[in-house]
Amino acid sequence: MIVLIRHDADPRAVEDFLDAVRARGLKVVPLEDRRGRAFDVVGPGTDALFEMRDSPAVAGILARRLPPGPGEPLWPHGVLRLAIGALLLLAILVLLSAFFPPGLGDRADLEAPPPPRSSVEWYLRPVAALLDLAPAPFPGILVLALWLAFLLWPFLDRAPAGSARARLVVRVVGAFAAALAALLATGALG
Amino acid sequence: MKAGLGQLRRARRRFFGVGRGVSELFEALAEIRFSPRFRGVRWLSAVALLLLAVQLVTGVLLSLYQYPAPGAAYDSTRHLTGELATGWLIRSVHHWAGELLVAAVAVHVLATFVRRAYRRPREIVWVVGVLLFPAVLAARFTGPLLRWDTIAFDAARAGLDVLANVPVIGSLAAQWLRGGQDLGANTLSRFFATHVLILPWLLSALLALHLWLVRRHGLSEDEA
Repeated sequence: MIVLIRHDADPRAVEDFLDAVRARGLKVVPLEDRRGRAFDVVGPGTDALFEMRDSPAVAGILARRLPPGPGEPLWPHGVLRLAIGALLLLAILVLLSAFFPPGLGDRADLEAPPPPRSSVEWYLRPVAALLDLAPAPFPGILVLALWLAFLLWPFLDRAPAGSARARLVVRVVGAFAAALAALLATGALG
Repeated sequence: MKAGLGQLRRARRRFFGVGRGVSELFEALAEIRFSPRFRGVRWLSAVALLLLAVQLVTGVLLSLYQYPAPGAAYDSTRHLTGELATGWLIRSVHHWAGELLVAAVAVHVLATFVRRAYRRPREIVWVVGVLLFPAVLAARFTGPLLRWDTIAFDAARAGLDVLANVPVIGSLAAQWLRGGQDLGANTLSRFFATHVLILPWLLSALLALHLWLVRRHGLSEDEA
């Protein structure tokens, strides 16, 4: 069953409608490339949808499938692409492994003196470099705060889709973070 | 021609011995569309998924020969690398897949951020994805010490010092992983348990949730 959403529907009304559909044990599948304006509803008892057609979010209900959207079918085209990609990646892995195998040092010595900061592996170097910026505990708090801000970013960025200002902010922040991490990881910033 | 195709279909069903199941599987796969939005850096998610699968398979093979005791750990790694046929290759593939996995996940998270693909209703997809990143880093960090050589020992000690300077999460994790005042047998046991038992399950659970949420909400529109 296909549910068409009104073009001027309030997003909250749409969410309420979809929640009510799900509460009836039905599965809601967004139809891609219809920009959240059409949903495929599947499961037993889809006829119950007709009782909900008075919802302010609903433009209409179709009892048959829409023609498939753009894109290749997963079988065989998509599976073939994935298989070729997987084989390429495995080939790269085997080549790297054959030509650059990881070394094995001497047996670990528990009595050895503490190692220098440079022994830190590359993916921890940006954090290690930030921690060296100032005396503890401030850099540690900064690292934790940055990570929490990154984790909760979707709840901080509430600008609408296509907002030029928000797009500029994420691009600048993203480019700065990537450049800083790369420079710190390679040791270019000491 | 039609009769020939019918015979072929019946023969295939007899061969697989599952009635219409296999045919229905292929029909169902043909119904699913490979989204045209799945292009460019989005392929990194598939790359990361495959690398994680490689890590799980090679990790299971390595765990068959690796001992989590300070004396035996180093000897078992030497035995695995020098004496077992293809042992060096499995260890090497595990190492490189780990390095590439960290890079692939980092770039995937960054690309998702820059595209603003985290917007409503995909906030939780983002949160789960960002939580996956430290889990991948933890897996990468806890692995090398299992071979118990000087390089890995120094890296683990320096890494734990870094971790201990991050309040709450970092210091607790460092304290738990160290398993005492300094690195020793307890540390190796903790690293082994975390790397082989805890993190694979945690990563699998987070990944399953992430994929389920992506499937539920679909791919976002590109803002880049």
